Order: sequence, then C-alpha cells, then structure tokens
Amino acid sequence: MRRTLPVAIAFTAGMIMILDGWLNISFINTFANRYFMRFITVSSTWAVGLGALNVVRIHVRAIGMKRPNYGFSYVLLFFFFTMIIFGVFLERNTNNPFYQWLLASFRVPLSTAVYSLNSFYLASACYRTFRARSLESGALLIAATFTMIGSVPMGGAIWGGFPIISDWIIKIVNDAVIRAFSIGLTLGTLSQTVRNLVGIERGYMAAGE
Amino acid sequence: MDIAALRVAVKPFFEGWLKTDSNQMSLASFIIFICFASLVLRYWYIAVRTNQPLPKLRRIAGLDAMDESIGRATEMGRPVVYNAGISGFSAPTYAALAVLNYVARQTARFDTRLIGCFASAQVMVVAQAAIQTVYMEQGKADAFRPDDIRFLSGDQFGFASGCVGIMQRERAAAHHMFGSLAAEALILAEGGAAAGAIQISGQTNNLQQPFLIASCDYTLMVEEVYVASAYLSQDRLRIGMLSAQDIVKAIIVVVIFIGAIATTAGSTIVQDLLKVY
Repeated sequence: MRRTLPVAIAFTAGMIMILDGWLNISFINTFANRYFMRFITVSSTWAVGLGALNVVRIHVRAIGMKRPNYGFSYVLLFFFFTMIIFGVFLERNTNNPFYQWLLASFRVPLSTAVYSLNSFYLASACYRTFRARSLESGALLIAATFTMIGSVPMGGAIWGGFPIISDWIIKIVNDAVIRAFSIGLTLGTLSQTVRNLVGIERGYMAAGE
Repeated sequence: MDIAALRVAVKPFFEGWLKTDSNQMSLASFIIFICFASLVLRYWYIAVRTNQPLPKLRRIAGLDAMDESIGRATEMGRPVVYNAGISGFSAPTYAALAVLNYVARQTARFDTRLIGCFASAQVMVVAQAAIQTVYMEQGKADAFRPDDIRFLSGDQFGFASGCVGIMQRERAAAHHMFGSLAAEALILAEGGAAAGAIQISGQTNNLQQPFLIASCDYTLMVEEVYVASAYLSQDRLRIGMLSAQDIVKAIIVVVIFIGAIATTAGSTIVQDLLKVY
C-alpha cells in the first residue's frame, strides 16, 4: 500500500495532465485546469513554508551549537525576519518602501555581483580546458580559437576567413548538435515521465525502491 | 499529393476531440506518443514476462565515476555535496532525484556524509523524505542528518553562492550536479573545482553544457541524465524503457533524413504531412 497508493495517485494525476494536453474532453480539461492547478499552487505554498522552517531550524541550531562561522547565521536570520516583517505584516506589504529599499540595495547588487563572477570563472574554466591533452580537447581548442578570433572585429581584419569559419562552426556544426540534443532530450523527458507515471522510477517517493 | 485536400479529409475525424496547436502538429506528436507508449508496453512485457535479453548499455564514464567520487570522499573523510538543480518538479528534477537515491544509498553504506543543496523547497521536502527512507533501508537511520538536507534559496545566484560556500567550508570531496541548471552552473562548477571536489554534472540545458564540460571532471551529455537511473540500477524494466526510447529516436531520425532529402529535392511533402492536423 505504501508504494502502490503513491504510484496510483501519480499515474492518475499524470494521465489527466497528459490527456489535457492533447484531448478536448471537457471534464478532463476542467479537472486539470481548475483543480490540479489550484492544488499545485497550494502545495507549493506549503512547501515554501517548510523550506523557510528548514532555513530557520538549521541556522538557529548553528547559533545554539556555536558551529564554525555561526556569526553569518545571525546575519541571515536578521534579514530573513526583516524581509518577512516588512513584506508580509506591515503596511503596503511588498510595496513597502523599506522592503523595496532592501531589495534594491541588497538583493539586486548581491545577485549581480554573483552573476558577474561568471566572467572570471569562464576564464579559469577555459584555461583548464583549452589544453590539448587529447584529440577531443585539441579539436575543442582549435574550434574555440577560430570561433573566438572570428567573432571579434580584429579577427576579420587579420584574415577574412576567420569570420566565415567562425560563422560556419556556430551555424552548421553547433546548430546540428543542439538539434540532436533537443530530440534526445525530448524523448528522454517523455521516457522519464512514463517511468514516473507507471511507478518504475520511484526516486521521488519516500517509499524506497 | 494534395495536402489541402488531405487536411480537409482528415479534419472531421479529429476535430471534436484532438486539440490543435499553433504548429498544427498535434496529430504527429500524438502518434509519436502512442508509438512510444506501445513500445513501452512491449518492452515492459519482455522485461517482466520473458528472459529475452535486452540491449546492453554502453559505458558512460560519468556514471562509472559516481562510485569513485563517493569512495574518494569516504577515504578523505569529507562530504559529498549533491545539488538537484534550480527548478521545481520537472523531468530533469525527477532524474536528479533518482540519482540522488543511488548516491544516498552509497553514502549510507560507506558512512559518508551527504549534503543536499536545494533551490526548491518542494524538491527539498521530497528529497529529505526519500533520503531518510534510503538510510532506514540501509539500517543507518541514525546516520541520517536532517540538517544536511538544505533549502538554500529560491533565487538562482543566492542558491549558487550558498552552495559554493558550503563546498568551501565543508571541504567537499565530491560534487554532483544533476537536474536543471542555468546561469549559476558555471559558478557552482568552478566553486566545486576551487574546493578540490571531483565533479560530475548531468543537466539538460543545452546552453550550459559547454561550461560544464569545461569545468567538471565528468559531464553527462544532456539526455544521458535520463539514462542514469537505468544505468546505475541495471534494472531490466528501466533498460527496456531506454530501448523503446531508442526505437522512437531511430524513427524520428529516419523521418528527418527523408525530410532532408525531400527538401533538398524541392519537395515539402514531409513537412506538410507532419502538419496535416
């Protein structure tokens, strides 16, 4: 029962959603769009609450047990509760000026700063990869060199062939591989969905293998 | 062939019950789904009811390295960090959870610490319960540490910096990235490399694939993520599913090939047939 019931629920819910995608059957369409969508919203909201509890519990425990770097937990909890108080309980909720100021002055710059790390990480990842240790990495190095040189104006000034080769690599080779990936991915997704629906894949259940 | 006449002839059969999409490919995609479902049933029968041999799976270095990476973490007495991507429940996340089950089983067996990082609270709740069940099945219920299954942030960069911080502070020996990743993929991978972790990635975003190939020790090429659970378990049913998937893929490749030849010859018959309803 512990394994059969979740599989039965997953199968019924999944089939309703799949049939809703293709078929014009009013009770299936109504059920999928009205009840299932509402259920997804409700369950997501509950899960957000559980996620928040998880964060609070871990950091309160870190402070209580004075784990290494527990000072950061104070910072996290302070901002966590400040955002909740100003965004949920005080006037104008998420339009509250202080809440908006916190967002604009902390969250946005911090996010941007982390995103900008990508440029440095890209350089270090390229440095490690672009060493011709094998035939494959040699081919990657050559393709990358042509693509990079051909994509900057100076490349065309050095030799007119660079932009043409670069364009060919991006439009023909790259596109063909991406399309092959896409077909494989779509079928893989379909296969994963069917495995979940019929209960072959139970990794998402706390019901064991 | 008069495609317009065919469309008119076909319409009454499907109009009442089959939805149309903007590309007019509802019928084609529905037929592919039916083909796939039929093949699944066939292979289900073969796998369960007969001893007929199923195709062997080719070696996938990234999945072979899973045990190696967990073994390395065990020898070094350092944790394995697992992150299941940034999306909520989607096909890649389900695949990631299947791999997580395997990783949890191995870490429970070897008494290695497993830290799970999640960007979706929903996925975290499910993963926590699933990992706990695996530990109980292995008779290691006491070794399960709920505090190590962490919801970090729903924001992709918040999640990435949290995960990198954990890898650096806990000195992770292995970092497994599965599921759906976006712009934070490279931050995670380089953060893991800086922590000295052996890294295995398997995600489904074409745009992030080159970054992960560049920065991870092993990378599963997009759809290999969906093969992972069959490969790791060597379960006949799951391998049967892959056979069904490969047959449908072969059919699609044949259609593409015929379409390419027809288009080169100046005919649009394949596109027209695919868009008949």
